[in-house]
Amino acid sequence: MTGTDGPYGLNSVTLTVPSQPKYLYIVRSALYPLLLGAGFGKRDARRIVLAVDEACSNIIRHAYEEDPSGTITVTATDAAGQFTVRLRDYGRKADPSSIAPRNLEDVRPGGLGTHFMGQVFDTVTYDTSEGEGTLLILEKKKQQVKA
Amino acid sequence: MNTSPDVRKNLGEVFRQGGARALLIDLSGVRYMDSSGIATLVEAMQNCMKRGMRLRLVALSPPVRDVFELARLASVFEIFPGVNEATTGL
Repeated sequence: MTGTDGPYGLNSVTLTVPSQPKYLYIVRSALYPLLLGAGFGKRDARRIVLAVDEACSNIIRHAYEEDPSGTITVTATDAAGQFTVRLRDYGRKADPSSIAPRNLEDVRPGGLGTHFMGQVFDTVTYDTSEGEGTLLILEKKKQQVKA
Repeated sequence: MNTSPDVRKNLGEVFRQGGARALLIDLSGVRYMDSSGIATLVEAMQNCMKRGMRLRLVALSPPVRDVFELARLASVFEIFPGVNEATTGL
């Protein structure tokens, strides 16, 4: 894990984990204190961590199709009035037109991750313009921080 | 996502054994749950309904309850604060 003055500035932390569920606790463990430090309350911080965890799970399932040899690079940036999480993978490109939260009235297993991301973050952007894989950008405005 | 397959396997064993009127799942030791955990419990609920069993969830921690609320499933499940309350009326 590195603090960096790279492309996202001094207020960014970047870590890379293998595309395996057992490593996602590292992402959760790193994000939670960063969110508290950024001024989010515990409940909001928990929800943001959950949404990022769901995004990572979706990358493992859909971009890497459970292939454990991939990587997910997570960059968390606390700057300019918002908290941004960027998730970079090098698997199958996401197709934003096919990604939609399911109808919650339909009680069935699966499909909740996208709903969590949309509910927790202000914007969810899939950028497939560069090379292999997808850059998923999750943004949360800090003025919506609740104590 | 990491532990759901094990939970699903154990629940499958419970359903194979059969014979119970109700299934109580004590979640007091669970401090984190994602949509995969929710999906596992939705499957358990559907399996219980097929068998005429009651499914009751017990002792949800605040983070786990929060996930149920985000998924808008808190009112779909029977949720109880403790085992004593959950066994009432069975």
